[in-house]
Amino acid sequence: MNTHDQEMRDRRHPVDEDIALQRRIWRFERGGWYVLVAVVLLTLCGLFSRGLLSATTVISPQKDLTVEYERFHRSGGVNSMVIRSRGEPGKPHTVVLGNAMMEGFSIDSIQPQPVSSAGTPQGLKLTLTGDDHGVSTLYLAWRSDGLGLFKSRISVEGGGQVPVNQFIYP
Amino acid sequence: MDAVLRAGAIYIALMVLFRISGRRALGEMTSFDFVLLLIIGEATQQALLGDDFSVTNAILVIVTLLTIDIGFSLLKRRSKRIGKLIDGGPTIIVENGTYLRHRMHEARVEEDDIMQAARLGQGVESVEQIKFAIIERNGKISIITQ
Repeated sequence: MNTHDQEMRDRRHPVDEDIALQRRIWRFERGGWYVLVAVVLLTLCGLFSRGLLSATTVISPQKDLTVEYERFHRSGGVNSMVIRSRGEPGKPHTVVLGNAMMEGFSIDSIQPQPVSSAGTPQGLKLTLTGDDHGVSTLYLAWRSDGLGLFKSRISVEGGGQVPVNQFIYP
Repeated sequence: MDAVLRAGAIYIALMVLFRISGRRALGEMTSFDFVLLLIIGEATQQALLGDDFSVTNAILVIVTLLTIDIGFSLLKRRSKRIGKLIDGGPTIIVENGTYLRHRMHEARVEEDDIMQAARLGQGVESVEQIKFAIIERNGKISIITQ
């Protein structure tokens, strides 16, 4: 029997040991440390909101709608979203924020204020005035209220639409 | 409902995290560890209460934490194995004046830690004077001299 095996035998005096269980606990501590490092690295990468993994931009096939948003959110936290939409020049156009989004989030702030807004079965309709080319940019701050995955979509009435999938951590 | 879930989640998370950080983290607290503990407390507070600062919520959270704590202590009394899983068991690291180095390595204990405990507790000069050094369940090293 080598020294390692000799050392790892259970002693009965002065304390009753269970060295096999104790070694499992030590291994758990060691493995746990790697998990903690992984969590820190993934947080830096943005798995828990704000970072490379979280920030994303989607563009509609018609190229008339661009949405910059965060995939991952934390309950109670505030994240920004930028919606760039294009309608007919000189005319107001309407952006529709899908229902699922309104269930999981509440709007903390909205810049600029839309010309009008209406709650409809499809979601929240915001009517915006564009510039000379019909382009408008909407800055939103969302506060996360829900929990879990929210699959929603944002669309321009009579134009393109983009899927917006967001996950809210507890 | 969420008061219970919050308290339960934080209790379990803290238990696992302190288990990972090892017993010595709390057993031998330096002034920096104390500051760290304060920061952990501060970070936990918000998650425990959420945005509800009512007296009812605070009481619900406290009641839940105490219930889980008492529940675990009852569970530990009922099953020795569960108790060992949660608290660990005592481990001998010096036997008859000899370091058990494989054990010390796995437990992340240095010779200096043992000798410090020996000097502080028993006024012991060298390892030959130690019959047993034991890492106790609370993370402290106890010394039995020859």
